[in-house]
Amino acid sequence: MRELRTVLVMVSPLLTGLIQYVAESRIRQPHARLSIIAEISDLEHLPRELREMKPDLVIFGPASDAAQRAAASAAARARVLTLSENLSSVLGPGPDDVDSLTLDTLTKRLSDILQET
Amino acid sequence: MSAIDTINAGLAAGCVVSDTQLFKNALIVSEVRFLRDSLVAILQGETSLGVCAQAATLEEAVVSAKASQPAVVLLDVAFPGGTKTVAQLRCTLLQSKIIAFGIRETEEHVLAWAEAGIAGYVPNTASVEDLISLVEQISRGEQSCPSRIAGSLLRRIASGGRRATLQPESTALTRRESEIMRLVTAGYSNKDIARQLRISLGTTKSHVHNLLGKLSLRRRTDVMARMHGVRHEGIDFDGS
Repeated sequence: MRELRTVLVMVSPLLTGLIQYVAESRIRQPHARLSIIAEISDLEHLPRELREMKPDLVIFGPASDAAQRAAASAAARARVLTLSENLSSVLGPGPDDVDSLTLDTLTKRLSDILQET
Repeated sequence: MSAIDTINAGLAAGCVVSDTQLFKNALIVSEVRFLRDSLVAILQGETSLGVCAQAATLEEAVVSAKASQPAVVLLDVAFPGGTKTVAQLRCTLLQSKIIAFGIRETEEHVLAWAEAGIAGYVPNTASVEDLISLVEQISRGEQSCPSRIAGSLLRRIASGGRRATLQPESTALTRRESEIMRLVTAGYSNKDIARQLRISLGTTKSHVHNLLGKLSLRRRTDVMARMHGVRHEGIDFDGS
């Protein structure tokens, strides 16, 4: 089974658990699954860590623009999802992809990414 | 099924009914839909709690609470109104345990929420598993917390809740008095306040007098000092 190697950046432990719940309970993809390989809360070494880990997906919690730019350049082939500051929206992976953050939209967004891998 | 029915059913079946099984419903209060939906799904799947309702606003919470009288209310600390929400919910939910989740586990924050009337809290460092475990603990009347927090709570009790009386009891104030407290804090004179609120000078003086009495203060400058002190600590007592 293919693993979508995922890094969470600035995502609280509770939110991490909720994302894992979505990944494990709601996504039905027979050939691929989301695998969280790291949770990063220190942005200082983020570019280097992302370069070394080469993730397929990076999910940002309420993160700064600078952190996102750093991630985009350090993990060029990774898809990036960003959860908005007030957790009302999910942005990415395309620059114009913006949706309300709900169980359904996050499930669909992650399913689509898994499907494409 | 009532709590008594649950116990009887358990006894009839020859099994032990845990305390948490008595808490059959919960209300989740958060502005964040994703949090509400996913917590409902997880709590219903992983605990003996049956989530009866969720609410995105205080009005929704009060309506839901009146209808269902939940045993447990899980309140997102980012909810507008801050600690004041606890008092508002407690007016409706006399029997419910209010659990604040997402609290920064500093002494100031935990004590402020404790004084507001929560039954327990879930820190912002908690995982889903921690949250489930803490909700069940708090339902049983327990609370795990770092020793420094326990120490602070003991000191607070030993001091007779002195600090509690030093903090503004905004719940004891009327809406008008709260409004006036803000204006006093902003440096408005009685005349300015009267003009701003379109009330007479005499009425304004009366409100200020009552306000000082409720806060156990002597001068309006004391109100300013206290409110500036509260804001300096970064504790949101009134959602402003």
